[in-house]
Amino acid sequence: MDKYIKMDVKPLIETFPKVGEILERYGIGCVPCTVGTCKLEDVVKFHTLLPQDEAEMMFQIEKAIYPERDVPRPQVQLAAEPPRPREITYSPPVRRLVDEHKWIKRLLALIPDIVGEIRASDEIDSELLLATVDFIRGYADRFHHLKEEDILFDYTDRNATIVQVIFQDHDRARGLVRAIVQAVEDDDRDALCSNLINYRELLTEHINKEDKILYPYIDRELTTSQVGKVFRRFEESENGLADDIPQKYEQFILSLTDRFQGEQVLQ
Amino acid sequence: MTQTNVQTRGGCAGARMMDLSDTAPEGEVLEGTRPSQLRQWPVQLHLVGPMAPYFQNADVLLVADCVAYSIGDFHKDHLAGNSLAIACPKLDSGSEIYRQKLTALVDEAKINTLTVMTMEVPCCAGLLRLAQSAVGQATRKIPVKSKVVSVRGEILSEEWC
Repeated sequence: MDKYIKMDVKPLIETFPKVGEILERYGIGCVPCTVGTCKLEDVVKFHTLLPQDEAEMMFQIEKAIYPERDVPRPQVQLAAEPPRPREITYSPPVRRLVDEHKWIKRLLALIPDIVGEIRASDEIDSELLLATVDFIRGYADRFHHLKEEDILFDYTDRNATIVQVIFQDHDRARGLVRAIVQAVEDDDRDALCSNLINYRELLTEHINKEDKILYPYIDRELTTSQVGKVFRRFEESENGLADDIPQKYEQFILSLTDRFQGEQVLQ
Repeated sequence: MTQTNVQTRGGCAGARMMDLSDTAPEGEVLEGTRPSQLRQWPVQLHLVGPMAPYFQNADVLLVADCVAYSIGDFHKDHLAGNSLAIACPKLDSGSEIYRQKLTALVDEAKINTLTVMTMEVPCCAGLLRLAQSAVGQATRKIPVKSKVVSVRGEILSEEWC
C-alpha cells in the first residue's frame, strides 16, 4: 500500500478508477484535475478530514486496490467530547486574493459570449480581444498571481506538490494567453476560440483548487505575525502600481458584462 | 440555599456570580514554574505610550482585564511574542483616549497586527468595537484578529475581522 500512497494521484485513479469515486465521495476533487501530480498522501494531508473520515476513506481505498486482501476496518479513538469548534476564516491577505478571484471568474463567465461573438462575426474584434488579454496579463497575472508567487508562497513550502501544481497552472495559463495573442495576429478563429475555452476551463479549476485547498492549507500554517507581514507586503506591492490599478481592470469587466449581458452586477 | 454552585439569574452577564470551584479538574497537581512572557511595563492602555520601543512594528495583544485570569496558560499560549495593552471596556473611562492611542499604535508605531482578546460576556465586546473603530480611523491598514474566551478559559472563537 505504501507505493500507492506515494504515487501521483492521476495515474493512481487511472489504474484504479474506484479510488477516484471514493475521493469524490469525501469531497476531494482530484478526478477533474488536469495536472494530478499530487501524491495520495499529500492529497489526504491537504484536505484535513476528520480522523474517523480519513481512516474510513483510506480503508475503502485499500480495499479498492486490494479487493482480495482482508483489510481490517479502522478503529479510531474519538475524544470523549468533541472539542468546542474554533472557527477561523481566511486571513485578511488571503481573503484579498479570494476577492480578486471574483473579477477573474467574471471574465471566465463571459468567455462563452466572447467565443460566440467571434464565431458569429465577419471580423475578429481584435481590440476587444487584446483588451481581454491586457486584463489577464495586467490583473490576473501581474496584480494577482505575482502576489501569490512573489509573496504568499514565501510562507509555505514551494516544493509541496500542491504549490508545484499551482505554478504549473500559472505557466500553462500564460502559454494559453500567448497562443490567444498569436491567434489574433494570425486571424485564426478556430485557434482563438479553442484557446479561450481552454483558458476558461483551466482557470475555473485552478481558482477552485486555490480557494478550497491551497489557500486554507497555507492559512493554517501562517502565524499571526506572518499574516501581518503578508498583508503589509501585499499593500506595498499594490502601492507600487499605477494609481488606476486595479480600478481600470474592474471597470473593464463591468463594461464587458454590460456589453454581453446588459447589466453591471458583480455577484 | 447552599453556598456553593449558586448561580444568580438575570442582571448583567458580566457581573453574574458563578462558583466554578467544583469544576476544576480532580487530582491535578500544580507544580513547576514558567517564565513570564511579559516584555514591557506598563501594560494598562491608559498608561502605555505608542512610541515605546516594544510597540514598534510589533504584534500587539489588546486584552480585556479579566482574560488573563481565565486562561491558565495565558503567558505561554497567547502573550509570548506579543506586546500588550489591557483595558476594561465596561468600567474604564476615557474610551476616546483609548481610540486615539490605538490609532497611534497603527499609524505611528506601525504595529504589524492587533489581536483583541475578550471574555464571552456581552459587555466585553465593546473592546473589539473600539479596536476596529481605531483601526478604521488609521491611515495604515493592519489585520485585526478577535479571540473570545469563556469563563473557563476555553477559546470559544478565533477569527480575523
